[in-house]
Amino acid sequence: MKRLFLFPRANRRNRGTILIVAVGTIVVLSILAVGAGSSVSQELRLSAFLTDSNTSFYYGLSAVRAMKAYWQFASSPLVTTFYELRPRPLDFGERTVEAVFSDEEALVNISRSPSEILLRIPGIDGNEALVQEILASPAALKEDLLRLNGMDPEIYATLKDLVTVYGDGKVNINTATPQTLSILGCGEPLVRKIAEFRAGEDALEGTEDDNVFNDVNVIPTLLQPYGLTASEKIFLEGLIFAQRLKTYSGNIRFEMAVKQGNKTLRTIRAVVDLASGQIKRWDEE
Amino acid sequence: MMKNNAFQTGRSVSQGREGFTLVEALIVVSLFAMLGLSLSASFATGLKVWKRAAALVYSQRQPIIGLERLALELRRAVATPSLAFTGSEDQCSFPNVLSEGLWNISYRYDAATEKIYRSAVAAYGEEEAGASRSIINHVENFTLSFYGYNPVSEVMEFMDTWSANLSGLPKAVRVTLQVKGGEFEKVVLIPAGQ
Repeated sequence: MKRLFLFPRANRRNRGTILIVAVGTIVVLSILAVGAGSSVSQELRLSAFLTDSNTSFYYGLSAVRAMKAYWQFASSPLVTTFYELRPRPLDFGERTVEAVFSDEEALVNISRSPSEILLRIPGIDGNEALVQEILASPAALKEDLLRLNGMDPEIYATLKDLVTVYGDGKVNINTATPQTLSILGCGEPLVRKIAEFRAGEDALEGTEDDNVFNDVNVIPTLLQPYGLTASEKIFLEGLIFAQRLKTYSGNIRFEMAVKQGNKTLRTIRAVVDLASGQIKRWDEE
Repeated sequence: MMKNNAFQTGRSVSQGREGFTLVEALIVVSLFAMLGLSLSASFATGLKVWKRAAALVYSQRQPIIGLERLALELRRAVATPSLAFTGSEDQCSFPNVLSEGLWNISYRYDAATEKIYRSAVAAYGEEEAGASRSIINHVENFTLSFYGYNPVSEVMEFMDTWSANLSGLPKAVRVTLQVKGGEFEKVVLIPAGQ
């Protein structure tokens, strides 16, 4: 009796057909698998993006609050020196916030400075018409300067890193940049003497041995050992009398990189008023 | 020696194993045609299903990404007297610093087209090229409310509108978005409004 098979073994000629069917099936399945894999990978990336985006904001906010509390309890409510503003990583467990700080009041306040100082700002370079425009409409944001007549992107690009709109208009002499001191009218030798005093014994600013001007009235006395001349002394006393200097600051710029391991999840820039605790500006990238 | 050849031996092809009969060839051709048809049909069906699934996934992702963009820009809102933060139930407009300049960013829901539009206008210049474009489609409902001090009730609360008369920026904005297949709600904290 002849045996019947449900799936009889293919004869030599029919094996080719089976091969083609198998290859076709594998191709279709592979396309579907690649598609499904790509879809899952996109979903995972979207999910990671949303998680990073939402959590990074709160890590940045936590870093701001932590540093505000630290400065309040560590020294005074207001920051004074480069050493206090040294960069530091803030560990929040799964994430680290690498924070770099700079003093907004180390810059020239473009909204509260008199015209003789504004005229010395690089970019403005003695342009009296532009200075009158600046004085007529004080800027709440640096970018407000762009709406002024006579202010073009080139001038703005030159001066934007030298000026601020935050603070009371006085410059913190403990953190003032050489450019700021020049704009205030300090000659190069005086700028050098101030920097030498602040740097301390190791001649490096931002280290533990930095010297501090604790009171504006003692600035000339403290600079005397660094060869302060009579004319420089008179000039400094003029600045002090005109209330252009101070020895502390309350407006700090935070540059924060929220990281997971070595991977930067988000970069955040903020300007914070330490005295009131108010965040004046928040930029996320 | 003669080769074993059908022509040379005079033997009929159908009796030998060297070729195919017409019937055999037709069967093979029809088998391949059926095979090809079934393969292409399954491939086309697969592609159709794939496209439909991808469209569904995209329509679900679009509101999430759009909402995230709105949240990011709201967080970057700045307070300046030259540009006020204003808002109502279906639109909001606020100053943002973008690429070295001050911009007025607006989000607006158009119920007729069921779309949310975003526009960016330079505060002291021309409108952004290609601005005012839809960022979320198929929106069934979009509602905004603004958290801040209400001078009428004299308490901090969510309000339906935020006008230039109210001081500065709201502390937070609640965004509710309803699209086909889901509803999203997000409360966005505005750091500069704290």
